[in-house]
Amino acid sequence: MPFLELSGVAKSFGDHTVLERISLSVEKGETLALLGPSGSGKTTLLRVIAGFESADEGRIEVAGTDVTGLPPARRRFGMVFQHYALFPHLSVGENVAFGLEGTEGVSDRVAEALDLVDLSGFEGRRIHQISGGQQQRVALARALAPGPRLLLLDEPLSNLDRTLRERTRREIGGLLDRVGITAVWVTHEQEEAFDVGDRVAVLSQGRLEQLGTPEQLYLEPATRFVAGFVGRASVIAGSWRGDGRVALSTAASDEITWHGMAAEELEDGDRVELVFRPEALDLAPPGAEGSLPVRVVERRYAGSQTFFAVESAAGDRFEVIAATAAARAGDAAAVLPRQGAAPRVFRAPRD
Amino acid sequence: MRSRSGIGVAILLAWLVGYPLMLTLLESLGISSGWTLEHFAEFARRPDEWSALWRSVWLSAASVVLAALIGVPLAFVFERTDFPGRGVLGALVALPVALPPLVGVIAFLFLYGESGFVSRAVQGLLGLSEPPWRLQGPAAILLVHAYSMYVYFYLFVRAGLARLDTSMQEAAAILGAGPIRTLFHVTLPLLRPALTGAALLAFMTSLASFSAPYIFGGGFRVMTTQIVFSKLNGEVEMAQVETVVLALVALAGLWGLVRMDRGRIEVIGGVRGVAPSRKVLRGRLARSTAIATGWGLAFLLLLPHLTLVLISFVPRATWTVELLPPVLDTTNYQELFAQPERFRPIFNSLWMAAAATVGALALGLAAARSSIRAGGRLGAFLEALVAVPWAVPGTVFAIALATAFAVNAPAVGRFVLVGTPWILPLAYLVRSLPVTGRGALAGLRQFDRSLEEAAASLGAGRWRTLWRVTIPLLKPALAAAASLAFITALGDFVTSIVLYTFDTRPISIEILSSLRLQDTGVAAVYGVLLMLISAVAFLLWGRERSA
Repeated sequence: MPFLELSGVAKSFGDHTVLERISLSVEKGETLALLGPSGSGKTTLLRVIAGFESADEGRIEVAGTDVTGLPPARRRFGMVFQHYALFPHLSVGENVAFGLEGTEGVSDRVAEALDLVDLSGFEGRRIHQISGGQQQRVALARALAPGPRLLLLDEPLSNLDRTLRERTRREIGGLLDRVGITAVWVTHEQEEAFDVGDRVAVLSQGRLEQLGTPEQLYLEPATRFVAGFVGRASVIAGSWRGDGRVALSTAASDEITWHGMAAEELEDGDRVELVFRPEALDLAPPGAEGSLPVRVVERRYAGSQTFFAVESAAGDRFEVIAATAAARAGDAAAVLPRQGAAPRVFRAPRD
Repeated sequence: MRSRSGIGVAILLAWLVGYPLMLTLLESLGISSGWTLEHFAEFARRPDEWSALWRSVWLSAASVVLAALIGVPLAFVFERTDFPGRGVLGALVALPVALPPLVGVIAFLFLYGESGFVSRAVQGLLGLSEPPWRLQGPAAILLVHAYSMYVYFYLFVRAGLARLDTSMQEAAAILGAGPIRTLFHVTLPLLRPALTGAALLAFMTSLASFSAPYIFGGGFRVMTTQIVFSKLNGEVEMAQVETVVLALVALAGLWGLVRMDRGRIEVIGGVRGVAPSRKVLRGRLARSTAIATGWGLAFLLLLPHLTLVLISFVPRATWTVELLPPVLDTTNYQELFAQPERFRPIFNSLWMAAAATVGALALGLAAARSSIRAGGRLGAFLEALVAVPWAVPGTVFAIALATAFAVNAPAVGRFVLVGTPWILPLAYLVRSLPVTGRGALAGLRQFDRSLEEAAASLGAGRWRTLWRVTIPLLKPALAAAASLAFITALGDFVTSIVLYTFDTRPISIEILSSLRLQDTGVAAVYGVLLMLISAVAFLLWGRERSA
């Protein structure tokens, strides 16, 4: 039985639908990353789970009991807020103790929680005396101290600078595993979601686009949105010929046919888009068999890899990863799928 | 649930703030004795009503001009030049605003009145048989207004100047504009929001001013005094009509000034570049002139306060024709503390002001919270309701409360409160609402809602969140508002004179009766105590804002 289960959770503000009947579940001890661009509804979903917003429809269950109507104070969830929301008038220790009032051995438990985030002995410090990274860890200690059933994190790293963010991400991820707590982590960064999430839920415009492991999201995107939002997408237009075949749009009279996997119901003749990852394509000499002729627009050397931005005669512009010496900007070249490439095919958006 | 409590607060506020005003309007139209415009027609027929109205308006306009003429140059001097003692003097210059209006007025009386220090000195110096002037009529009122209201211009313009971006002036200079052209075409236009803000405050305060016209006016009546005299003469309907007219003039003034400010330039908020540097006065002559002028000015500003203190030590009937009082002792103070009846007004003022402050704080906080939570129309309605007592002169409110709460009709929300000890605290509370409500609003707008959510997520209920998180964090804003509300209520004269009963007479009323009995020393003692308590309240709570 899943630990946290959302069924048909919907929310709108006036005429604006923020969440469209979202159903998902999180297993005990699992970290679920909620990924989406700003305005996708991920933060609203988290706030509905926390109880700060009430759902218009749907149910939220934790460990088999309905918590939908429960006020936040009685859900026994912990939350790490985007700007930490540490109480500025209380010391570090008092902040951590806030959720422990009325229990026994408060000071021991505060020390324990601070120890967990490597801030032993910080009890007496004022909030404005410690660094941003330390504040972040105090927020985490405060949320964990009362022993919550579920930990909610709202873009917990967005206030840290880039280098600190990556390190903190690992630390928190490791900590969550050690504590074994079930967590929901909101982020708009794909890399972060992949790093911390056992599974990732991708949201767009209030809809749950796909829920799966990072590998599933990357290799088998269920929707065109996921394909474009998660990782780099090299998109080539064509038309569906059935049986996994796509005729590419070219200027030449000979039809070039590549293979791909239909991600949705398609009919022969449908205008489609073949979505590759850049590393699934390779550059070939002009005229190679079955290759798509392109012109190299730009070569971008990124150390371990070299990206080539290319343009086909039909006007598709996309990226290919190839050997640095394969071509230079301005060269005529050709593109071929690599061995084992399994591009997804989506119906082309009507415009 | 949230919006329900918001509606509850809105109803309570509407009952306290809007309802009495509406009832006054309806009564002036004869709701209880048959609808009629007769009272308004009567108002229109009387020339003295028209002249009172006209005097109120021109006095207010003239007060604004005088206050600006003093306050704006002072602001420039203190913000743009540096000289020894600038810090201390800069604070002293803002002092008149802390003096309760009635206390300021009697201090002026003791200074420049017929038997005041300055008048006696001039009379003695020139060997005149009569006092050189009479402190009466519009000139006297304007003098008091200018003295207390230039502070608005001084404070607003100083703040505006401090935020001004020097690069604008440097740009003007590089484009070839001289100092005069820069002043009129760059600096002053940029200061427009500060100037209109101060003008608005001075205009509304003058329009509502009661103490100065009441003491110095004599036959020269303005609307506020006219209303009170009508009420005292038993012309209740006329008082109500005058009240409605004054309220309309106040609202029109507010509307006009706000409209004037609509095209205001927003760049002033963009704090970039360097704060303007102060010109350090170097030359020996310039420096000594500045120091002498500065301390001279400070002495002039402190003179009313000093006079009050001095007079409070003059026992009754010991000072007659001498230039300076011949006897100084603490008789007046001893009497005050020895006679319970004399101490009574102080006790009254203290408890009524304290009760009103607590009530205004609670209601102001509730209104601000509901306004922010509800947002939209309900939020705007709540915000407007809280601001109404600020826009409407105190006399108007006093008459409105006297009208609404002199009748026992619980079914329509009217109770007899007039004549009970509750009417004055209630009046003070309503009058303090704009201060506490706006303070709470300002505090809450900066307040991060996620702090309350964090408390909730940690298992804290509504009350614990309020006590442990919200109120401690709003404390600076609330404390400043509370001190202002308390000081205002403590020194209130305008509403008290309409609503007091003998048993609940506040300090201001006692000052007035002491003056009538020629007990100037006792009146001064009350004034000094009022000043001291106000100062203590200000220092205790008003300071927290800076901490």
